[in-house]
Amino acid sequence: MSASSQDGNGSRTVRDSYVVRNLTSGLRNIFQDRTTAVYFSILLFVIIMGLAGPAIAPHQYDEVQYTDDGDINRLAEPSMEHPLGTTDVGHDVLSRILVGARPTVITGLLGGAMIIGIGMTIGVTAGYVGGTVENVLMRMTDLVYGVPLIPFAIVLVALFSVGFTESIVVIGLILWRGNARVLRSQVLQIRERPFILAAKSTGASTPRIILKHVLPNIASMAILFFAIGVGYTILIQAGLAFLGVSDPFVPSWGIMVRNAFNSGFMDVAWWWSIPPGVLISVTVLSTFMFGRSYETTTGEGSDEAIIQAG
Amino acid sequence: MSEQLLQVDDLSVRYHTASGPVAAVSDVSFSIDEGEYFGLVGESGSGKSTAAMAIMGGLASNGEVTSGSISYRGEDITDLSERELREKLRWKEVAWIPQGSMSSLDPMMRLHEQALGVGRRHSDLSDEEIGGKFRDMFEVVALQRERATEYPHQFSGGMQQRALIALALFLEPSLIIADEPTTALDVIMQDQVFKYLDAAREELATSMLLITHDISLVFESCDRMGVMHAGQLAESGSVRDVYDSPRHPYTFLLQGSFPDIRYPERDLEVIEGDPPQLLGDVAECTFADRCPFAVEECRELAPPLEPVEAGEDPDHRVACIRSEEAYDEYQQRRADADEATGREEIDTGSKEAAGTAATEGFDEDAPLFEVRNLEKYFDRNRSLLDSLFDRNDPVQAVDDVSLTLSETDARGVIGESGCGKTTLLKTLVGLESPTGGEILFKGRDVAEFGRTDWKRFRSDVQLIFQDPFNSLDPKFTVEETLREPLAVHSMDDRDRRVREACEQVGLTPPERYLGRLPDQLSGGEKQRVSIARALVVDPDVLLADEPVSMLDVSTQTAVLELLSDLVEELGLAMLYISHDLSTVSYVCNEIDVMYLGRVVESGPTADILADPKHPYSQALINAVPVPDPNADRERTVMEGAPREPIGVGDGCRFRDRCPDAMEVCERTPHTVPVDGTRDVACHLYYDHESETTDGAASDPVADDAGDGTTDHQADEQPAGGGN
Repeated sequence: MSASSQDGNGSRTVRDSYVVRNLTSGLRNIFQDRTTAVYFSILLFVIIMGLAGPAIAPHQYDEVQYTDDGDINRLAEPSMEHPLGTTDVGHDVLSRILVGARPTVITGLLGGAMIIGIGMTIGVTAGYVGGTVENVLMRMTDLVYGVPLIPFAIVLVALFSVGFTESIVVIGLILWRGNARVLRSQVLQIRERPFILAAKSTGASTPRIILKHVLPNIASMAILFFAIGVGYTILIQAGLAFLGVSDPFVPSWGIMVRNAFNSGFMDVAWWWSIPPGVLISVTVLSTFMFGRSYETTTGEGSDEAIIQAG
Repeated sequence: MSEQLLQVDDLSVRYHTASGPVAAVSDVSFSIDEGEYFGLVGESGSGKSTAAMAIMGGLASNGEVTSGSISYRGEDITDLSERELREKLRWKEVAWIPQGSMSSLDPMMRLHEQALGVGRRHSDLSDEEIGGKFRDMFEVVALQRERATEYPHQFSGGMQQRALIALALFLEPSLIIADEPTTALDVIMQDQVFKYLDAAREELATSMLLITHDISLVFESCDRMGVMHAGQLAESGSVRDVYDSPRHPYTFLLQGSFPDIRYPERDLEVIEGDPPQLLGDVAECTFADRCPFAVEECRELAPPLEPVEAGEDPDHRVACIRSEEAYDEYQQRRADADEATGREEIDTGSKEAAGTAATEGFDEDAPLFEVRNLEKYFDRNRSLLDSLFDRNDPVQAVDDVSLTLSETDARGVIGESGCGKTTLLKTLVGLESPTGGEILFKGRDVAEFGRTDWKRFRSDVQLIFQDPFNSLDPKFTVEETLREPLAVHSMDDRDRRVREACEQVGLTPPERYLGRLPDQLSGGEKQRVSIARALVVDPDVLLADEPVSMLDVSTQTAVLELLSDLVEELGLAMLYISHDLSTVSYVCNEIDVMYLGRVVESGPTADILADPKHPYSQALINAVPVPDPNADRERTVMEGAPREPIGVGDGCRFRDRCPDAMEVCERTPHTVPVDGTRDVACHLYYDHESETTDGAASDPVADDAGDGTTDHQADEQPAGGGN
């Protein structure tokens, strides 16, 4: 790498333009395809909710609402004052949804990043280096494949104390397995292509080849896997929250569904359980579909890869 | 004169694609008489296969015959339904020989079962009759009758292709449509396939529509021909007329662009550009953009196909409004060019300008590469049983190869696929490590290279790859691709070097290309970028692995021309590896012929072409089709395919296919000089008595025995050796 930094301006501008070019062409791809654009805007909307939600929420999420009579406003149907009604302890549902967006977004991003981070490191290393390294890494992956996710997560979370971050980390530590497998097989293919041979024969070092030739060529697939990882983490975290294996005081959407269920009023207070449920579904769906169509528009999609990714 | 069999009139075919209708074939007319061979030549995308598909009714679902008619024995078959085609035409009347035999034969069915399937459906013959006919046909293509009950994988590639011919012909169709029947095969196999096609033709008096990109095949084996360019028929007529007096600029440029092993020194014509993609209606000459003789008018209407001129054979027709002017101009240009090459001789000495700073330990005067007894064996995956019994037959991909590459040498290594030439190349550049022998680079043993030596080596030695479509990183622009090696080797002055390399390979002006991604380049341009990437670090040696084999003929010539110029102008050395003798002979001044991992003959190109000594070289050179209908070439007589280089043991590796095999061939032949100019490893060329007295049998390299035996060789050359 010292080679490139030595020669100042020339290569720097190229490097910059290389990243910029790929980003802009990626964005252009997104907006060319209408469905991709729709999914992208939904995601953008959720992220904005995560950023600004607490600020625009009409009430504190744990502030008990009272009726004019001074009673606690329990299980109020949607009205002008409480557009999404209230819960059985008199919390404003809309506010909880808006505040709950943030932990959901954090869950997704953190989990997705962990999944693709670990998966890509292991997959690319195994695929490119080969030999014993590959054997060790892939047997490790096989081992993780044997772990049943939810029960394992419950045990681990119970062991490390029931916390919001812990539950995400546990998910990330398991779900990278599919990514590692698929990315390894991708790298195996790329490794054999003549342009890698060309780079080798000009004397490029292994890290240089991986960074400049291998990674860019699996980038669109990595983006897809990141998106799928985000979706999965949100979904499973919500599941864990529903099961009670997450911090009940972090007001994520999953916890909301759990509270609604536990209160026993789930069948009555539809305004309480449906919004978080729908939001979880829509978010997960959009991440998945966005990644999928992003990958197909950049042209390196394969159905098999997606099936294996889970 | 015999009866007309197939008549195609003003046929137009369109493909409906996302970007609009593509005119694949526009107003093509030709006819085939009974017993006649008709060749349809063109580059990829010229519409030749589409035209054939339209005849067979096998167009892809988005293809459509938009106008014109096809008639067979006077009956219009343009609009026949799938069912009618199947019942009336296919197999019984018109048979199809596709390109890839491997994928056309069902691997799960024995060959005679496949014949039964076809026969039951398309004829009223009984099973016995079908089997009998099929076996008869097996004999015609020189396969054993009994082998008809075997599975396809039990045959070699060439034999599979012949079995496929038998399968196409056993119902005795009147017309065979052969779509690039030998493109996937090595020259010797190609020659055999055509030999047996000819035999079948004599037996059955069939006609053939031969579709190929190789104009020499057509000149050699067809009676009449058509030349297609981007959907239009440019010229048609008897092969002799087209050869002797080509009238369409595309025809004579194409003819001039084909390397002919008989004239390795000849300058090749370069056809600029690529065939256009035609959207919508075609109302122009599709060759106009590439034609050096085009005028405004050419772009205004599609030229009609008209008889050349009164008095000549009315069958010779051309679609060019300027055909006479163009031909005169072309003749004039050629004459000028001949004169010019006569006057201006190669200017050497430009190498000093490139002068490289001597690094410690490298001897700049030593030959660039000196390879001594190089061996590269691959271990096969051995089973437990093999290791218990100590069975170890490695793949002897490269075995005892010695060669020297000096400055400004252009050396070609030639051989059929699987002969180890690519392994040799990979071992030379250090992508594989040799299992024996040594490689000296500028006088130093590669095995002792340290880090800095390798770095130096990597910038001095550059590779050019076979597959231009895969050898460029799809995510890199041309500029980034070219800067990459400069960054790796920390070279200064990058902008200038990148520009220079672009100009050297003819990507001018560089600005037009620097920002493009590989998929915005044509095949030829990609290969140019590939070459520029090699040149940008100012190397001493280029190692080229079949650099043009995946390119179209016209582009191929341009790249060959470029490589040959580069070697001359920049004083580079080049090692050129290929299976195609005609391209090698065009670029290289020295040739090594390889067979199953060993070099069997090496020497100056001209000498080897004129008078090959080793029986294998003779077979190889005989098998190359000559682009001239008047030439009378003898087909190679050589059976079988090369074996795998596994457990080959001692002895000449060519002995089981060699027409001159003798008893002594069981011993490994030594390499001895013959005629002073070249080295041949064949028992025909040395005196075995002196060998035994020298005790050279124990010495694998008997070059030292050469001096003593040179005298005998002249007398020893048997008549059978040099047909």
